[in-house]
Amino acid sequence: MKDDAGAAPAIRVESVSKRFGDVAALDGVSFDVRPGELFFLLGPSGCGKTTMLRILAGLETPDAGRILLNGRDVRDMPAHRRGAPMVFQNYALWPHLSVAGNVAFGLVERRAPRKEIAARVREALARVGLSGLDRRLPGQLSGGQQQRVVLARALVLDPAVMLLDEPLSNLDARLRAGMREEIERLHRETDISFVYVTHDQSEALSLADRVAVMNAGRLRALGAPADLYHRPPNVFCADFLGEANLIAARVTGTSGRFTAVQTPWGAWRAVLAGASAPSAGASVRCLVRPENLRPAGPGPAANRLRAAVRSVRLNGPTIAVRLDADGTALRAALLSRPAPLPAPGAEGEWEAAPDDTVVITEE
Amino acid sequence: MSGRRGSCALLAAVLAFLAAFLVWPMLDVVRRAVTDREGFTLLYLRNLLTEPLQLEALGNSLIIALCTTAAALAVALPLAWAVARRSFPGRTLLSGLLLAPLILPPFVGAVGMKIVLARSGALSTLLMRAGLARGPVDWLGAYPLLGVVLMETLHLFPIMYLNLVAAFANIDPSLEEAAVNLGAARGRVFRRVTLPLAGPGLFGGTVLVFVWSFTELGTPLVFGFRRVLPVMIYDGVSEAGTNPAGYAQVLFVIAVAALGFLISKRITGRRRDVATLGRLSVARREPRLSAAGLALLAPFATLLLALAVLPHASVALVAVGRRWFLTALPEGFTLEFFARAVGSDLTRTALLNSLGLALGAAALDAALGFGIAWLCVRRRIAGADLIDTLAMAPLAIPGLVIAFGYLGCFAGRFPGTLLDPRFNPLLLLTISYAVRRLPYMLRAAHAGLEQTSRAYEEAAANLGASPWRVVRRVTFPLIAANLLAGGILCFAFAMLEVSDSLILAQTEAFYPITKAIYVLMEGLENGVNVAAALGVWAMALLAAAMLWAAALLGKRMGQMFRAG
Repeated sequence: MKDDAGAAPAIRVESVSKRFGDVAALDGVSFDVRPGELFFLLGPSGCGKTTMLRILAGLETPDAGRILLNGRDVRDMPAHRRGAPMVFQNYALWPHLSVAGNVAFGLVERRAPRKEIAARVREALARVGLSGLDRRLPGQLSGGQQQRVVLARALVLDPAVMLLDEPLSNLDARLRAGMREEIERLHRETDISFVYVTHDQSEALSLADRVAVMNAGRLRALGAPADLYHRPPNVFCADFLGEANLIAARVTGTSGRFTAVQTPWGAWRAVLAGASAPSAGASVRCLVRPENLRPAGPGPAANRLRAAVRSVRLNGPTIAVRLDADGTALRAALLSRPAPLPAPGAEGEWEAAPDDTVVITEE
Repeated sequence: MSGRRGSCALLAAVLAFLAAFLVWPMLDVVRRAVTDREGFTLLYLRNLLTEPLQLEALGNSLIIALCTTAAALAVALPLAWAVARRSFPGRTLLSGLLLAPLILPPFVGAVGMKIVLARSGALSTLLMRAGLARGPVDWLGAYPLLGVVLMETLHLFPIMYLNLVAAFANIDPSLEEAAVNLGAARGRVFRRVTLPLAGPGLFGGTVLVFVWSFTELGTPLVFGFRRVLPVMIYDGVSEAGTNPAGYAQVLFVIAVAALGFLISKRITGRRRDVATLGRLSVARREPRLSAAGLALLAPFATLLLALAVLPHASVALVAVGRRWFLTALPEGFTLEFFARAVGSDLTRTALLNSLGLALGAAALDAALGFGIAWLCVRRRIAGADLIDTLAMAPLAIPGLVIAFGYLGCFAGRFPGTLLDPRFNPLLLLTISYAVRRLPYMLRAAHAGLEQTSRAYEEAAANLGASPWRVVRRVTFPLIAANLLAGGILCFAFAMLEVSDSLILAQTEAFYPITKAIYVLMEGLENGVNVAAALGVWAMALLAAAMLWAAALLGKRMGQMFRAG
């Protein structure tokens, strides 16, 4: 992370709201994007993340709230003055212009000298690995190549901020992996702040410096991917960021640095996700990620439960196990080993370390 | 946003133009129809329905319109069904050829048919030789209504056909399959499902053909049939400033047209959702036309096309025929009339006038159509719907009415200026041509904008292009083909516009082609031949323009003539 948290934010979003008819697309959303950061807006479709991006670009006007770009309020700044080029989900490559014409578009608008335009277009195309295709029309390119042209079209302007709207969603699975690395490389090689919108949590977790998780127009969490994955502040994030076992529990007190809770399988110890500790007697849920649930071993006392194996599936690197613990369905993910798989129907003790058990108080 | 002010200015400009050259002249016509020196009066409207001469003209016009509409429907329905719902060899060719009659103007065709149908003409001669008639028959003199109806049917049935094809093609096949599945036999499916679903298209075509034939001036005028409403209006032009009778007649025409379009709009609007329900759900594959069907269709279509081309073939024959008198074909052939058609001052001026007027009208339409469509589709600002409705209105307003309105509205108020058609009609002619064909341009521009994703423009704004630059660098190039095609259509129609040309152009220096043809026909020896040659020149220009437009628009060409 090329972050210096002290510097002025590249983008500041202050309590932005936007309604479309009866639907609140954005409801009081605030966040900062730091200079040079790879910032993700993550959420299910319809959560408002694309609306947020379009507001940043000036393609929509917020009903309330403020947007600052490099410290400047952009309320009255029309889209074409914002200097925040966008990578459109459907590319929006102009079919009447060649690859070079598309990439040169923004430079022409800035009235750059012709020679400079040619040189910078060449350089931008080389950067995305498309040298020599500058005379082609967009229709003559593959999907992956078109995606690269869109990136070049934005990069060539050497902007402070770049907006990416689901840039990988139109690519097939194999291209997607390659392009993911490509975007990461481009970000690393520049000082540009990326605001990257996606509904794919694995994209966000693997690339982001920080992630803003959104749902139904609200910001639900903001933080580094590892923090959000392992210590989600609410049930929505726990669920949306990965597979989650969420176990109903009641807080009984504290136990050292842990919170003591009562679960259907006895007293457990767990860590807190939020800053504020729930009072004794509060109903909460305990998150255990499937990869943290394992057959009980001889080690120190952990959080234990008895469960029967319902099904076992080999996924390659992991084995997905479905468990039934007194009517509660649980999942476990074990590392693949050339050992016999757990047999369906087998009953046994399973456990999770207190450090891998997270108390979640919010829905 | 900075684009906002520009949009409002554009809206105001377009609105002002439409108000001055569409709304005001129409309102002026209405006002003058119900006032005379003493003030408000319904006398002239009442005269229209009580004076025997006017009543006869009105009756004749209605008969012509009704018969033409019925005949066009009878001809178009089987053709449209076959082309839309069945596959057969030559289908593409047929659907293209069926457009030809629409493009060939009946006014020019009538010049030729007048010769063919005359007492000493080819038809009479052929019938006598075959022993089917005892003496020469003046067909036009004996059956003037029939002649007009025939000409107009042959000209207008493609409009009906295009509306029906579109209506049939828009019906989701699964709706018909559902009917079959629930036990309806084929004939019953057509009657209970297909035809009702095609209703809006059918009605839209009917109204267009009815209004068009009710107000057609050129054909009866050339045939010398003066007892129809449009010709009476034309004959009253010289006293347009003083006598309200003409305005009352025009008001009546407006009322008929408006009524038809109101009804059609209601019917078209209500059913649209159903007819297009899930249109793309099933890939359509039309069944083959049965052998019996083909045996019926082939001669029918051939005969129809032959008939439709006959008037224009006869024009061509008149243009090259040396003597065509009591013979089946001319006795000798010559290119003299072609040479005279481009050689004389009258005709050369007319050709140049028409070219300039048509180019001007097409350019004006391109600007107006693009501006209006952009305001409606992209800006959606308040008032855009109003100008859209206004700009589409000329579909229902006959050229006769517009020309008459201009004459009454501008001639007296701005004497000696470019707005006075008696002084110099070129500006008003350009504007009237443009206003009349604006709906076609608007459709072309609308279609272009709707097929062009907004994202292209957003991307341009996002990369630093101001609203005006976005239009120039992205929007305009992307829909240029649509605008060009629409412009060519406007150009083609303007070249052979009849009613406004005849009414507005009153001095020889400003005659467009059509007026020159009309004047030549009435004039000196061989005038008809020269008129025909001039007509052939115009048709050649027209055909070239239409072929070009068709190549640019492809299948979308048909959409331009639909009602809904």
